[in-house]
Amino acid sequence: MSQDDQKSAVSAREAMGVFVNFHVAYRQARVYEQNNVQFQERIRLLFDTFQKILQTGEEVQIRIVQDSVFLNQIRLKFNFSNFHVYLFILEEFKNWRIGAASFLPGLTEVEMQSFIIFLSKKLLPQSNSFERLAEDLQAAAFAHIRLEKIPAAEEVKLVGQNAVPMYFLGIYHLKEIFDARHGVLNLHITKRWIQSIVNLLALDESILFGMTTIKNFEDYTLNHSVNVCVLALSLGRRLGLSRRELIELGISACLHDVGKFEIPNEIVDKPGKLTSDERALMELHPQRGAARLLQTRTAQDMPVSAFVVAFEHHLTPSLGGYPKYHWRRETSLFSRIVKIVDYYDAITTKRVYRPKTFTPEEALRLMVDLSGKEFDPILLKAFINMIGVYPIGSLVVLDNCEIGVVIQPNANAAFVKRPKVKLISDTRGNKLDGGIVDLVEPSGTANGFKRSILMSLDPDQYDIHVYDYLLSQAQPGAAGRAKPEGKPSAVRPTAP
Amino acid sequence: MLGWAAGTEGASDAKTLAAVKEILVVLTQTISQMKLYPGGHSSAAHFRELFMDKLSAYFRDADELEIEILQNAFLFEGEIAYQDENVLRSLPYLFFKDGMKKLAFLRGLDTDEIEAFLATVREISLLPIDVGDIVDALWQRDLAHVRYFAPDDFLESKVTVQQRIPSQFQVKPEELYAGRIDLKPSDVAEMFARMRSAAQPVAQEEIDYAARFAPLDEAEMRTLESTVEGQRRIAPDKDFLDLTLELLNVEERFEVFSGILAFLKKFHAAQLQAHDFVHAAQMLGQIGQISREVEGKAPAKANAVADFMTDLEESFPEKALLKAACEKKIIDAESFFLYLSRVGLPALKLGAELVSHGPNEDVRSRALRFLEDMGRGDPQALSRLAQDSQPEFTRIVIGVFAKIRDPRAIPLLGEITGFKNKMSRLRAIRALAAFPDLPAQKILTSLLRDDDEDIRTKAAEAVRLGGDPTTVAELIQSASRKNFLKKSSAEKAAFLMAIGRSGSAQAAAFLKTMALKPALVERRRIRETRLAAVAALEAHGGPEAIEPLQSAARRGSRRVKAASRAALLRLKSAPGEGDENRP
Repeated sequence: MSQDDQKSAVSAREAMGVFVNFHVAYRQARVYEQNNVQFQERIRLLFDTFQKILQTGEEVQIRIVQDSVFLNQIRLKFNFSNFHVYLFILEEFKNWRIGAASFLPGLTEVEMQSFIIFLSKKLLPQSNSFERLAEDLQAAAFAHIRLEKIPAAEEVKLVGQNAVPMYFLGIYHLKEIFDARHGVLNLHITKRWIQSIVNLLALDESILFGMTTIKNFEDYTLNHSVNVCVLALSLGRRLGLSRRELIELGISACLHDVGKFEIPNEIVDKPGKLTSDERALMELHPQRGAARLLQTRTAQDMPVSAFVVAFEHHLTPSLGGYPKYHWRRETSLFSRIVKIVDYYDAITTKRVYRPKTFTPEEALRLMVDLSGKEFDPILLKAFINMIGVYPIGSLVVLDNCEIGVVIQPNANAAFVKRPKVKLISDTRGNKLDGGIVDLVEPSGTANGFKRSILMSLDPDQYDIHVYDYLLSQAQPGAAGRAKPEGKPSAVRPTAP
Repeated sequence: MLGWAAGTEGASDAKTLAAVKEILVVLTQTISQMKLYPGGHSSAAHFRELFMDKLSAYFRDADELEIEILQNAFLFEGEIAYQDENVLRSLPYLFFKDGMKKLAFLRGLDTDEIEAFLATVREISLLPIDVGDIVDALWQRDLAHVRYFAPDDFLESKVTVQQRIPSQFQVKPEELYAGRIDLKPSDVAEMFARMRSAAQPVAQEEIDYAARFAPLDEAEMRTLESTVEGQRRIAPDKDFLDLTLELLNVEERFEVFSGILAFLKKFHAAQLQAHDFVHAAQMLGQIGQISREVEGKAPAKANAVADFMTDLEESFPEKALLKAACEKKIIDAESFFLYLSRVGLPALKLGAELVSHGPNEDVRSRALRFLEDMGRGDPQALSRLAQDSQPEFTRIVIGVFAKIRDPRAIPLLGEITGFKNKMSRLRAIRALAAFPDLPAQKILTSLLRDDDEDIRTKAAEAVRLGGDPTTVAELIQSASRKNFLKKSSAEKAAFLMAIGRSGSAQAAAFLKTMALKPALVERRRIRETRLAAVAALEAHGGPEAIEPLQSAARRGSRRVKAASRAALLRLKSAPGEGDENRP
């Protein structure tokens, strides 16, 4: 039994059960009426787990400390299967500026149910969210529920204000690393940068996901490496990797293409098709990269996975691709992760030899077709569950003819096609600074949604830099979430 | 690390400040003690417990203890709670240098976390100042109830950032939201098509495609979790070595190939020092494969591998490994001996030492098996261990040769019979006796003329002269000399038995004369010679021996008669056996 288990009447497993039930009940409360059977069952399940703790005389306290979620004093460790629960709770609490919610002995099932309905249906105000919530809560007289405001020390600046410069800092840092050529690789800085990225991802993944729509800044490989790192870290977090493992994964992702610096630029950036000799040389970059990492002076401090990923990131699950293995019989988990995100970022990036890029949606379709052959099928599925069928940065047309940019995937994998979208044009094509709409919002009719994505567009065709919209979201005063959405209309477009 | 709003400034009450001061003093003392003494030392343990007690007492009245970090001081609510004049060696500086501004312990901090925190601080404080990073170390430890604040501007100070946000990414919203988006005709057409198809039943292809985006099912989640767990079980050293060897295998540039070999050499030394023979053995095995593959195809690489192996041989730490083995520091004996077998010749002496001085029966028997395997592969190499001045090694080598019965060992045993050390010579003769091969018999025959009686005797006991009439004739001639009778009874018996075992008619006739050798006075020498001849006739066992025995039974001395009769009886009671056993 772990130390955590001994601290409380509830085990880590039971605590996880509380969170899952809380999450499901909260979401159901948004959609269903109070007398819905499924909702009632879920409430009962949740109340039973609460009661088990409350009967011991303890209170049930859900607390957020930085990017961790605690039940009483047990810190919950999340893995792939319940990561969306973690994201959801963290996001809801932070939106309302709730630091802790305590349920006290004496709590009744009705009281708990009413509280969940109250909170889930409440609209988030633009400011003083906690104070306004607390006032309403007091008026509603929940006798056995107490909320605490997030402590000042836990308040963070707008994530975007940190995320944007941190993203570019990564590119500058990699430039320094790669410029060092055979010199010292300062992995201390790399590690610190990765920590910052992981911290930012824990607070709000969408801004950094959005940043990965930036391509070819400074140098393709540098920008690409940072994008691969961000996406790999995000997938790694969902897989439940420890922080040490995330550091290793991050370094590996950053350095996966280091071998390209050993290949002449005129081949790497050659417009048009490579000759067979040039292709053969290009295909040496994984082994050249691994050899270079081995030769650098920090090789002893370099995580082993960095060598492995540099060598393996063009190998398929069945060891097809290049270079060929002589003894090893499978590729590492990190290589399989990097292979997926590397491929995704690469084919969504315009290059001299690839003027037409894939939209994120097209890229995922292509990758799904290659699932199993080129990519680990389960990891690919996990990746798509993470970024959604319409990844952040997708320029989309909604079924009411509004145009928007996907700015946040749906945390619930069941709604991969229903992200949050920032509206950038009305139904007639007039650009506007529209609100953010959540595509899971019901229409009020049976099984219907208010809006759905009809198709994605190629931003290059419209000279649109989607990252501009995402960056504008990250700017001060652009919290976005609370902004009222533009009212949809039924006007259909006419062909220009 | 993201922002952390400034702590509530203000004067703390004197009692709390005093408590915090005590905690911080004990913290610095604890770290000092932990740096000086190993983990279990009573002094370090005492301070560790004291620190925990002080913290526990503090948390009875407070939810958290937050301290601000200056270059050489800790502040608590704006007041100096700890200060050290020696900036660079101070505990505050350890945190400060890596950009940490605040550190907080939260209520709920348990013993494990405190231990982990202290161990982390100790570990980093022992590293050179520009190597360790306390922020990185604490972040990786992921302690639930320890919080710190290290703002990103520290990171920005370490990287040359041209522009925090490059100008092309500084968005002007007024431009962003002005104008129109007019869809291209192809997109409009696509849109209408999709609108129409939205009303239609969904095509099977689309359903299949959508299924591939569905949330992972239970089985897939389990697979994913076991994949992650599987990855955690891979030893980094193995992973690293596997990859490096793969890299070596595909590397086409000679200078890089050599560089990797040089790296592997260091890796190998480190593995040996750590007594990790699994990877050391794997490395030698795979380099051996590469060596075979490059041989003839890439001479430069082949030479580099050969040099690598030579270096390894020359630097083989025989004494250190022997010491480690004898001190039972080598846990995985199987891997150790696998490694020795990959090392080959340079490990032979160590193997022999371990046969004699291994710390337990397991190691000794493994060492012997190792030498046997080596002997089977290359008896000549093994024989190099056998030296006149090293009778113990020689004994082991002879034992191995006797066991493996490889004809290639015969001349090597023959060499040992030429040593000065008599025990070694005798053992070699005994080992040669096990070889029916002619070369072994020739060596033994040559030893019948040795100066040393014991050698001659043992050689005679060992030799099988069947099918070699010349040697039989030589022996008969030798035994016919007058001085033969003066030889020791053991030597005479051995010689006559050797003649008898030859099974020839000539031998039987000669033995008959010896059994019936006349004498005026029956002296001991004569008697024992006659009796030895009877025994040799029995050993002959063929039809040619029957008549001489019958004659001896009739005409011999009293003792010869009795011995001959007994021999005849024994021969008769084993009908046909004589024929089968004839050489």
